[in-house]
Amino acid sequence: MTDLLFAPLTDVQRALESKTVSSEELTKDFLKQIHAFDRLNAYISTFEEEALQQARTADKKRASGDTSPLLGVPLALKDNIVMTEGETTCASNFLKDYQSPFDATCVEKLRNAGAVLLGKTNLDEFSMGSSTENSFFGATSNPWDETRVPGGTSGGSAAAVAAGLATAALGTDTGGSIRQPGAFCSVTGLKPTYGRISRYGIVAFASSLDQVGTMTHTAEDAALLCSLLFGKDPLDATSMDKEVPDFDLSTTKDLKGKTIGIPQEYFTDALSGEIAQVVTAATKEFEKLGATLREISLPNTELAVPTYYIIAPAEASSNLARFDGLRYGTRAKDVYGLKELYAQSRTEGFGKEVKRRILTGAYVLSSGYYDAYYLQALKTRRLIQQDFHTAFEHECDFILSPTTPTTAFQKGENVDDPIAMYLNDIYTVTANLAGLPALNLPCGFDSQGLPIGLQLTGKAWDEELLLKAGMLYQRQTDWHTRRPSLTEGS
Amino acid sequence: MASDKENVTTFTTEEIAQLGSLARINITEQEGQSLTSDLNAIVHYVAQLQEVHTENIEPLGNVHGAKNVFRKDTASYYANVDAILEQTPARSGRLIQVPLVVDHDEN
Repeated sequence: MTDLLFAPLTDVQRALESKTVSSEELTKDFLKQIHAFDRLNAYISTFEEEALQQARTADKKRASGDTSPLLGVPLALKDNIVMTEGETTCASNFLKDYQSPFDATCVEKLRNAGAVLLGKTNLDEFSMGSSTENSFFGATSNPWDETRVPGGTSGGSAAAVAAGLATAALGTDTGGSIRQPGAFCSVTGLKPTYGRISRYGIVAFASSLDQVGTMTHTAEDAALLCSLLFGKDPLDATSMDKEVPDFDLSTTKDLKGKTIGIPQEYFTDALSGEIAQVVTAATKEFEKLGATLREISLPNTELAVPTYYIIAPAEASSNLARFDGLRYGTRAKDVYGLKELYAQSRTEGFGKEVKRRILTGAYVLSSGYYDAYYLQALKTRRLIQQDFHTAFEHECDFILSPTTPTTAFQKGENVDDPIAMYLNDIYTVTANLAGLPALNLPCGFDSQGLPIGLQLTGKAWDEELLLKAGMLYQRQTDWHTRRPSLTEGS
Repeated sequence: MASDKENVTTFTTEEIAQLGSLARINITEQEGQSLTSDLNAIVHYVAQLQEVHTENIEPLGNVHGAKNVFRKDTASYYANVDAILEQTPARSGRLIQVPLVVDHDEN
């Protein structure tokens, strides 16, 4: 086995460039590791033959002088991103056999850059959840403590990167689905600004909130992937034509002149004392880098979770109306009449949390309740966005907070209590509601050895500052280099 | 639907079944009880927003203020029709097969 299973993408890139290792050797090692830790259930499917073929092709291309940035680098994709290999299941019974006739734009970009695609990672069904327990294919385990959840919904991607089952992975983030599992598994996770990465080929959950992002060992790896994935796509009308930032750190040595806002509303009784302590300690590292800390107020923070849990289900109920059992997906058998065919196919195809969200969404959009719930939530969403605008205009360059109120919880702990589950998203949903970029950085561990993450939230389109701050922080700390002690075969 | 003092709906299992029918989801008896109590918890939780003063606040649907625009309605050739047809649960040649759709019992 190579020692590159847990190496940052930039190291893997160098090893491949210098031909210290071939992509085929590396891909075989990752596939071996994936089999050895099958019990984590990080992947829904792997594409061994295809991946090895891609690796051999990459090696041949390199031999003939190709220098594509991801040439031969083994990556994983969350299974709500369509690609032509295998199935795209969304962790749902409804789509368990669905084979996409096309690649998502982000997949096409990874392929063009030469990546080897190992497989598709587990998630909460249709990205609805906070624990990767709501999967038709079973729960994923947290590599740091296998009795606990990896977070969700990109829990498979987070567990895969943390356990050395892929060099990096793509996830999607609608309310924290990259950052919260990043925090729970000690993985660097970026949700870019809404509109940065094409959503074409991402199975839609809540279209005004969904965004593709990266799960990596380092902020530098995230920057590398972002430089390839960012950009306007004619196939996604909400993607925006903005200049792709220059993530080169050579011009940025420190954070002098930058002010970091610390939102007092994020440090309340809901936050675990240990996390408060660890995140506060991390702020000192940013001070050492020359930044000034400033306490700020985001007064509408407490409205974020209820606002999110109206808007996201509303959009989900509309988006998931397409799953009717006619053109693709599960179709109920022996049913008479069209209405009953729709209903029975959806009843058999969807899991419980998906049904909760569709019903909630249908209710808040229904005639007579629309103004009191959905329209009101769109207004409180404006208030939440204004909080950030005010802070960035007058007080700070970016915001530092905890990513999650607790560390990874036990499997089963919250499955029967939707509100307790939803409150996991308390610090992450705001960035989605306001459309802002936000980055999880591993910043320590609690007394039980469970990872803790801090979150940097930036101005719209300012991933550059977040990732540079992340890179500088990771130069002077080593939290992101810690690995779980995994034993084979137990 | 029944309302409690705070003007927030408290669903009965029958009302959840009716909501399910509108969303084309059959609520099984087994699920009916727990979905009803879950929906009551969720709706009561999110109803706290109704106490927020939002007079003169514009609703925010798209964070970048994007407005809907229409593209030209032009047909384009799609090469991979077979791959799409292969995903259909039932078909007859190049046609998607569906059960009887015109039914005097349908409402």
